Amino acid sequence: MRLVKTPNHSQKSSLPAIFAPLLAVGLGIMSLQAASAGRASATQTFEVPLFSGTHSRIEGVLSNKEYAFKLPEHVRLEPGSEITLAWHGSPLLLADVSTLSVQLNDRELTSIRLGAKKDTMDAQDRGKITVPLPADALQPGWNRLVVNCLLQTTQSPCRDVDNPASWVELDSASLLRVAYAPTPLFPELQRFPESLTEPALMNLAEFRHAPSTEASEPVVSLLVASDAGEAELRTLLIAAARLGQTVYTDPHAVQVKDIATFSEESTARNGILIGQRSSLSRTPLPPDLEKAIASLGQGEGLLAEVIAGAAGNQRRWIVVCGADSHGLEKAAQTLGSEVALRNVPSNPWIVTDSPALSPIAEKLAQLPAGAVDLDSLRGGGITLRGLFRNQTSRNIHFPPGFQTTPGGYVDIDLAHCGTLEKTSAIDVRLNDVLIGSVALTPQNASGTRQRLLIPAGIASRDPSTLSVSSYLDIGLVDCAHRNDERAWVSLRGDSVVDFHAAPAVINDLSRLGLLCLRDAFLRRTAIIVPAESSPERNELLKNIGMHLGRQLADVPVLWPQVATYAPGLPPDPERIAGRSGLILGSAFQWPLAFGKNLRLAIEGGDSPSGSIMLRGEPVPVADFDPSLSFVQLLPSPWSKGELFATIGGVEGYGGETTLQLLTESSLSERLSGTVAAADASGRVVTYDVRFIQEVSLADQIRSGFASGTTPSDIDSRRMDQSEAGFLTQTVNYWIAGMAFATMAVLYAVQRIMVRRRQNPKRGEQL
Amino acid sequence: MAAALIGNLVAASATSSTLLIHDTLSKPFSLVNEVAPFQTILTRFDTSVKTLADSKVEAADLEQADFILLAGISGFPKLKPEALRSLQNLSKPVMAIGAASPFASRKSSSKASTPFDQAKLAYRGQEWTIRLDPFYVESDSDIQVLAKVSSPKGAYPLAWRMDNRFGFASLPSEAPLSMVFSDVLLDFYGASVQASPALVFVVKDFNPSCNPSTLRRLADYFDHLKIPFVVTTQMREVPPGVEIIPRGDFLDALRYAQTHGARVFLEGGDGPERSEVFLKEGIRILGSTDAASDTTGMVIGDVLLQRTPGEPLVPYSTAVPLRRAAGGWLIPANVHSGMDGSANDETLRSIREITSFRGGLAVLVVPAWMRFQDMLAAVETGRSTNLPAIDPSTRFSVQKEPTP
Repeated sequence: MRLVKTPNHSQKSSLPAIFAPLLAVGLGIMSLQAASAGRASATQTFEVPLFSGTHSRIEGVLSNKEYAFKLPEHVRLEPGSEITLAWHGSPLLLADVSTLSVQLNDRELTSIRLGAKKDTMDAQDRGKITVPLPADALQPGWNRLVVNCLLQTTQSPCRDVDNPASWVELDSASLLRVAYAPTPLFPELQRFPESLTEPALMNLAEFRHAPSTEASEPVVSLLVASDAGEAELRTLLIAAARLGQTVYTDPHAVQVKDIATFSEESTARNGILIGQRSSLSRTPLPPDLEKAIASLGQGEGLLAEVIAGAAGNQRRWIVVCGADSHGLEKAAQTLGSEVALRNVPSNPWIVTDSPALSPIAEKLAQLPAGAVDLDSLRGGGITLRGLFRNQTSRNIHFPPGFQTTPGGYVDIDLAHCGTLEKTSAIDVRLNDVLIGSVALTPQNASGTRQRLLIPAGIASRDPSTLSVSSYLDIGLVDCAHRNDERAWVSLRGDSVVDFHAAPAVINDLSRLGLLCLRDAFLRRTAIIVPAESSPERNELLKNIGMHLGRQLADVPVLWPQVATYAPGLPPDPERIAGRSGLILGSAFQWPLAFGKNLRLAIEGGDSPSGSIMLRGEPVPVADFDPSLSFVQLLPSPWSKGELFATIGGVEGYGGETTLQLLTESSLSERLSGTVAAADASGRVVTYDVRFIQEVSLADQIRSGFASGTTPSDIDSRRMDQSEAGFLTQTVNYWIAGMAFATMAVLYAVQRIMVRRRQNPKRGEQL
Repeated sequence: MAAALIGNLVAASATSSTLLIHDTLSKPFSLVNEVAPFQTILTRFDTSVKTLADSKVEAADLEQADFILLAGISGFPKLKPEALRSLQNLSKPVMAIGAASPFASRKSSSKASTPFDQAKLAYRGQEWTIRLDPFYVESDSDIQVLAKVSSPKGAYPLAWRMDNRFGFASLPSEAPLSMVFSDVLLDFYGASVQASPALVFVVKDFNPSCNPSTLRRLADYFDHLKIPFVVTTQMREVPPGVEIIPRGDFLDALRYAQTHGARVFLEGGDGPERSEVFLKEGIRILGSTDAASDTTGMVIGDVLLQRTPGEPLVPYSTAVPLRRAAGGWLIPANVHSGMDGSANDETLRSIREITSFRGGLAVLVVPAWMRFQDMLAAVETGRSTNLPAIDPSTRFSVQKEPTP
């Protein structure tokens, strides 16, 4: 933000230089007017990569790939945008037949021929095209680019659909160059969080480091006081969760800093300023806002948005404040509710009451009652057209916190073209778990109702999807011709989905990810953190919040809870009653959250022992890799039926490893049992304290993290242990069976003997 | 006698009477009514207008009128000799128009029209290239020129004054001649305009097929700048084949806009039943957009004229609000925005032209179906003129009787 000094305010020697620009902008009015007066909006450009990673592969004779990208709402899209596609394809593609076509928002952009000429030196087909876009081709918000390919390697009719030689790869030079003109910013609280994060969509030079390998500069700052209490930390968590809902915002694009840095931060990026009135007293804010904060009554909160900076370099800041902790939490809850923000009455907004949830909103977190038909879903019935593989899905109301139970079903009302080869079939999936497949035969071509049972144990998510994929084969055809009318399958709108579901069951660490998702609105989520302030704690809290928000992108309300603990100050039971979640901190800190009554499988020894107790067995801290992170699942001592997982490192929060355990499925899906440890090398050791194990926890961890042990070693060892366990179990069953049989025989013999003794004459008569 | 009232912005005086005399209604070989524009333009003023054909004018009519407009549509009006004598002897303001314009000069003889295809009209710092047909060249050099046109053949007065007589050398059938004529009438009536030129922003036809977040954002924008604006709305006619938003979302967005400074007008007539639907939802309807069906209150929309018998009404451009026969005001929707840069240039030009007239009110209409960025660009274009944006509901307040 450029500093704009005004004569009136530059006199205030007691305030830093930033005070002047903030006063000058007030609520942004002056800057907006200046912007309007200037109107020097030269067209600029930014680049949007079509995909993450280095390449995107499109394979199959007839194939297509869809790339969705979002464009920001706070700039004006100007004529002059263009799209560049750089590709290399299989050297076996036929030059005269293979093609690539590009569609943008359902408008055909261009088509090109693929395939290397026979006499070229480079056998591999390479190319690059840049297509100027019509002025109105792009739109703010989501855009959809579809690349359709016909990748033939032989002149014969289209049969070898899975030929591995039929491929083309787009490389990272494929991108969209968007021409835009900045427009003046103005407060629009109701558009939070997109309003703050949308610069992240633009990959602007100001947020890039010179070497592309380094992490980008943050786009959003969350500022909290160094002595932040539970209310501030909860606000931080809620704000981070809402920012995470944008999905495209990388956690690195959001940073947490102290409110003392507001002067610098407000000039550099968008952000959220969090604090109670007392902690914001020295923060330079526009006079109107300062006055509003000063006049807050007991228990009142405040939400405001200010635009700082001069035209062309404006930043957007949301102020979340309260006269006290109660007021701050009211403001935080308002920020966490999209529903509440949609009715912002004024800026600044004095929040006197916590926002309420309407019955309609409440229903979003509940299971639907009874069966639903496809017609009632957005998109309605499903028709898949075209040769070979196609897929589509419908969002279905199955909110987080639940899992399927036996008895659920999908009744599909099926019809298809009837001329399909016998390899043709459809697969139906719920949240990517296969429910069932249906072969498409002449017998079920004209309207058949077929029931697929929904397996138990499928976890819900946001959004839950019912997806249908098809393989439609109509025999020998020319792929270059349209075959949409000849190959189709339809699931009519009166197809019915009936969930039988119950709250998700979490009985081991394999469902660690569901621990905080027991309610779609995160009302049953509590994160318990050490009261002792540290940047690592705040950063972890932000990352957890963003991760939760990312998983609940369509949910209108996010109200997770935060509680703190310290020596002699256990967490406030009111904040954690009826909630499940995480207890952050080091192994030495966790016991402070529980008191003396509970012994953990892993915990720091009594200070100053310098040992970690692994099921009572002390192991010196020095023996552990500093990157190690432990996680253990245990029932909540505060509420029956709730669960908490302690997670953290030996002496700190566990750094990146803790974060990976919580956010990366590649690591978390390897968890099992009730106790686990992981390190930065991706090694994971799991243990179940509910069963007697052959090896102690300490030995398990010692061997798992011994030098030279690789993740695959641990996996194979776990496999061996599982096999050994299975073998042992089998032997045990045999022994038990044999013993039972022996006992039964002995019993029978004994009964016979007794009866003979009782009837000696009968025996004689016989 | 300065007896005209312009809007509610001009120094008031007693209501005057104006006599409009014309020869024919239409030009020879034409069915287009050329008198209707005069009657429409005169609604700007607080004066009672009496329209008479030339042959029916008596000397007494001339005596009774405070102001006289003498319009020659196809030729000089054929007044009775005593009426003509009386007219020549009057000292009250007389405006001679079209073929009658020679009456406002010392060489008051009948002339033939000399049309120009590409004439440049200059008035109050603005310039237009227009076609003038008819045009009656005035060569008297002793007149006070109020507006002039230039062509390759030379420069000529379009509007002028000579003592109590005013001349207008063409017919104000359409803009910009109609606007110039309307402005010249201020001098004719001796009225003073106290209101400075202003701007009204209108978001047109927000209906359930529109994006509610666009309206919300625009409301935020206007609210931030403390600019009042108008939203016209309806939920009866939605373009076919489009997805509509839920009723609740639609009404929520309207309520949000209303809370943030929007004045809501009903698209079409504001029949009590239609207004009632919105009122029940907490949305107050202040007027409508349809002058034909709304007989009272305030209308923001096109000024429509029946120019040809049996044909549909056609829009007629005016730079200023007009009084409605049944009371209330008609705020002309006189600037229509577009979607690209060139359209915004055109918008800017239109606003500047309209507001160059005394009491000019540019009503910038932004379709609600446009993308937010295009709407914002149009509004920013309007704001770049630095004209004050006004709230029509307070500037042109209309007190409606409460429904019993």
